[in-house]
Amino acid sequence: MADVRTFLRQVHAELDRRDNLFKKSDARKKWLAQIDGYRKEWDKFVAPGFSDDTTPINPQRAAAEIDKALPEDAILVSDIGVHHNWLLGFCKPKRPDSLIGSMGFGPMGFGVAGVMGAKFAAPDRPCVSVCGDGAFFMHANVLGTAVEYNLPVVWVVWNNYAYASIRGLQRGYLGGRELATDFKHPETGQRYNPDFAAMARSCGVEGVRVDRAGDLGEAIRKGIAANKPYLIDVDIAADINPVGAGVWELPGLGQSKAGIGTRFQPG
Amino acid sequence: MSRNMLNGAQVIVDYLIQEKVPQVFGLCGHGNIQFIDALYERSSEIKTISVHHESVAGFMADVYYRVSGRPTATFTSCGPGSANLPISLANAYLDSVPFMAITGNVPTSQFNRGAFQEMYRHYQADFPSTVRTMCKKVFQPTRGEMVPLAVRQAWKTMVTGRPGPVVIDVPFDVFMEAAAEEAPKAAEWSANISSRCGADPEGVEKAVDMLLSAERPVMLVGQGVRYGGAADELRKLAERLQIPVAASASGLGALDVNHPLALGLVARAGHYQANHATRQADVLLALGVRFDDRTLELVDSRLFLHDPADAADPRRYRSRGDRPQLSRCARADGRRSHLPAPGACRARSPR
Repeated sequence: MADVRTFLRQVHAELDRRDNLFKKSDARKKWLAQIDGYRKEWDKFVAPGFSDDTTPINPQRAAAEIDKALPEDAILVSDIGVHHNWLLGFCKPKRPDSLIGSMGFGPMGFGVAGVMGAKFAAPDRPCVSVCGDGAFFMHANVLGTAVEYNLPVVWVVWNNYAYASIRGLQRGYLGGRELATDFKHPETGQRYNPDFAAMARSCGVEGVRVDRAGDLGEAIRKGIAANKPYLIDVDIAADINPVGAGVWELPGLGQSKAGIGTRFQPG
Repeated sequence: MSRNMLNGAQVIVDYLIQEKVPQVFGLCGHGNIQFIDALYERSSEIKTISVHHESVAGFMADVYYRVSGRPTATFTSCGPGSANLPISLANAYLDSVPFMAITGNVPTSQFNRGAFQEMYRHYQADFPSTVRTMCKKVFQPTRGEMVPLAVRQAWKTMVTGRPGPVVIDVPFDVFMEAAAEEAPKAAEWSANISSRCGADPEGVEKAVDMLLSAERPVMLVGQGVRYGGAADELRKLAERLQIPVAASASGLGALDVNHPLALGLVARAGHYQANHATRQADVLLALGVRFDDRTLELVDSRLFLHDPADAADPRRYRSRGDRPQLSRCARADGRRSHLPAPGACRARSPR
């Protein structure tokens, strides 16, 4: 029972007293080499997504473009939804507070609003929220607060015109019986959402739309440099789901398949 | 009220200022105008940020702490105003993030009379029941003189042990009632607190024995490492013993993802190297991580558990009769020994 930092310091102190720290060094080299093999397999597996140039934007490409555009000291606050999975998989957080998300309760709006709290805590660091269209529409009132207190935060609205993480479950576990998980115009049947960039501008927040992967990084750099409240509405492909290497079981509905590799079966 | 007495609202505001809270986030209502008035009086020392939905106030307070390591406070009115807050309270509670929610309530003289915005049909002024599952503790002082105790206990509760949000639910009249000549001295109640308890020394020796004799060790880190300020110690240990580090979603970034020993993310959307190495580890050192249902397939390894944040046994998803509920944590083959967890306390002090 211990605080993590205290425990780690105790471990270091104990190691100071030990003589041979590398009695298993051969096995360790083998282990690290084995892991390096897994790393290469994964890199190869995901490589195509990074160069996909289609519109709407490939979500993996979007996550990577966002990550590349963020300066070293940026704070990225994720909302809840499928974008969170993509960010976790393809951003490369360098500091403990580089990528902030909610993993316990998972409420939509956490990142939409939380990014403003980040800005109060770190006024000199770029603060960017990546949030789904569902959560942003739910909490669009933040636009007013950012103006009233002149909070230079950037919202990147990951716009796939759906509650896409849940629609993914309908597709993955329920044979594609989709209901109540996307947004459509009643007459045309086309995908529907408000024009978020125009909504931002109506509030006095700079708002732009991006629909090509190659433009996303530049838009984010521009948004950060503007040093005022800024919204980037990004057209993201709705039909590509994150393919991770783990599984999630919804008891009663079964277990998702890992996208790569298999479960380890001990001999 | 005698001129040299502070009222309940003034005591709370003074305590927040003593604790160096730079700003509070909230939304007005008839139930908290006296609290806002106390903020007005001290506006050169503490800023008031007004938002357009109470959940937003809570999320801002939450992330403010995640970045700064300093708790702050929210203010919301009685009835619906505060009923908009619980989503953010619950979120902070489950992620062990402290903030102090000051919620208004109807005057004590109207308790059980069904006053405007009183939740009274089950129990008088019953906001505490609304939030009982969503915060570490709720206080409802019903006389002015109860406020000083409530505010210092609430602050201490929030930041010690496993941190989390607290609620001080203040009836309308209690904000205005004489409370004390001065607020409690925050330094005397908080400065002496350290929650950075160490582990049992014998457990540490055993852990080191296991790490040194491991052939395929992995460290799995959660947010306890990030918010506990243990990132340096983690990196040094990884480098010193050449142990690769996998992360839960909330632990990602505890070790720079570009570090050669960083494996990245475990669980569903995670990286192959992180998942597949963790599955096969012969010793898994888990730090500040609580193993939710999306992480569970990883715990078949011979297990040394440190510092789980939550119900200590990561095998807890097993259903009755020890038949696994989730097939992926099924294999309790005798070949692998499961050491009992050294403990379940994830204490950390505010930085």
